[in-house]
Amino acid sequence: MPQFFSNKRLIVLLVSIIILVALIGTSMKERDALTMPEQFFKDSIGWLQSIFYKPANSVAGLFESIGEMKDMYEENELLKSRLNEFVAVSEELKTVKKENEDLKSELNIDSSTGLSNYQTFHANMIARSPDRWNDLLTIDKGEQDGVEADMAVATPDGLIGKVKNVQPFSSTVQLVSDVDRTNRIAAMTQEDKNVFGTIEGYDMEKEVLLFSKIPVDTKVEKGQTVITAGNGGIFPRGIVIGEIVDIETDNVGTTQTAYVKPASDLYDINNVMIIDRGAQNVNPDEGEGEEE
Amino acid sequence: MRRFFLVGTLFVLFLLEGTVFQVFAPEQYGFDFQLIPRFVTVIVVMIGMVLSPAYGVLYGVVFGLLHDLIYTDLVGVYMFGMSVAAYIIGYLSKVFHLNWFTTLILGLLGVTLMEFYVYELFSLINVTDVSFPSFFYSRYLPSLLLNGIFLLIVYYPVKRLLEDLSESRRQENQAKRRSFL
Repeated sequence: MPQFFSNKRLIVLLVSIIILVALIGTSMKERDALTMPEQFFKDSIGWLQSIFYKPANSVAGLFESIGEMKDMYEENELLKSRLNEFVAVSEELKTVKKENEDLKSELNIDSSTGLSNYQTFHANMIARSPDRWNDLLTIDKGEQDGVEADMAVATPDGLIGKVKNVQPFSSTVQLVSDVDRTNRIAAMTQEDKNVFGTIEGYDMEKEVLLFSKIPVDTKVEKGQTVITAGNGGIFPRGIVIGEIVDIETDNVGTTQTAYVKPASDLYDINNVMIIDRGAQNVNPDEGEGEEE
Repeated sequence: MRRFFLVGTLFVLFLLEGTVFQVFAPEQYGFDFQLIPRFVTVIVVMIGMVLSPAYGVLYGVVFGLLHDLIYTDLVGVYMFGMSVAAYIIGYLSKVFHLNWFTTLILGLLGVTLMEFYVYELFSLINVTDVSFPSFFYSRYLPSLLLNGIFLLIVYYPVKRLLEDLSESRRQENQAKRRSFL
C-alpha cells in the first residue's frame, strides 16, 4: 500500500479532524432546542423505533411473567397480609391530609404554590442509546403532548432523569447516570431533620449516585431515603431518588458525600411518568390529588 | 436494487441496536458486563474490505452521522470513527487474502479501533469517567465476543451481497466506458 498516506489523503484527514473538533465543540454547547433537521430525524426514526421496540418488549414481558409465575403464590400471601395494613394507613393518610389542608387554610397558605405540587402523565420508552457512554432514552411523548425540556422523569419506584430535548412527537430523556456536569439535582433526606445536598454525578463502576455538599456536622446514616428537595427549580419536592449505602468525608473535611443507590432500576425501564411542575401556575385547582 | 437492499439492511440493524437489543441487554438481568452491539460498524468495515475503502468511508459517514443524531448528543464522533475504521481496515485488507478468518480478525480490529477511539475521546471531554481496566474487561471483551459471533453469522450472506454489488458495478463501468468509445 504505497499511497496509504499520500499528501492529498493527509490533507483530507487533517481537514476532517478539524471538522470533527468543530462539530463536537458546537454540539457540546448548551442548546435550548435542537435544529429543525435534527428534530425531524429524531421524530421519524423514533416512530420506526417504536415499531421494533414494542413487539420485542412484549415478548420479553411474556417470558418474564412466565418466570414470575412460580413466585406468585407466596407473593400473594404476603400481599394479602399487607392489605389490612394498607387500609389503616390510607385512612390515616386521609385524615392527615384533611388536617393539613385545614391548617394551611387557617394560616392562609395557598396550597397550589407548594414545592411538592405536580401533575404526572405517562409515556412509553421506545429506544435507548446502545453505547453505554451516553445514557439517553427516547420516549413516545413530545411537545404535542405537553412535554417540555427539563421536566423530571420517574418510574413508580423513583426518579430516573429529566427531559433533555423535545421533538414534536417524541423526546429524549437524560438518565441520572449520565455523566454531565449540568446533570445536578437538589436533594435532601427527611429523617428527624431535613438535610440538604446536591446529587452531583454518578459512579459508573459502583453504580451509585454521589450525594454531596452535605455539611459535615449534620448526621446522615446508611439506609436513609434521599428525595428531591424541590428548591432546584426543575424538580418538585418529594420524588424518591434512592437509598444511602455509604458515607465519606471529603478531602477538605468541610462537607461529606453519601453514595446513593437509585431506587429504580435504571436498566429495566418500560413505562415512565413525566412530572409537570408548571401546571400549578396555569390552573391552581389542578395538581391536587395527583400526588402519589 | 442490491444497493437499496444493503442500505435497508444497515438501517434495520441500526434500529435493532437501539431497540430490540436493548430489551435483551444483559444489565436488565443483573449481569455485570455490558454487551455493546456494533453491528452497523461490522458491516461498514466489511464494505470497506470487499467493495473499496472509499465506499466504506461513504457508508461510515452516513450511518455514523445517523448514530450521532439519534443516540448521542454530540455530532461527529461516530461519523468520524466509523469512516476512519472502514478506511484503515479497507486498506489493510489488501495485504491479506480474504477468507472468513481474516475477515473476522480484521472486522474485530475495526470494532476495536472504533471502541478505543470513542472511549479515549469521551474520557477526554468528560462524557465518561470509567477507568481503563473496567472498560477493557467488563465492556470491551464481552462486546468483542458478541460482535465476532455476529460477524460469523452474517459473513456469507453479506459477502455474497457485496461481491454481487461490486461485480454489477464493474459491469456498469465497462458498459459506460464502451459507450464513450
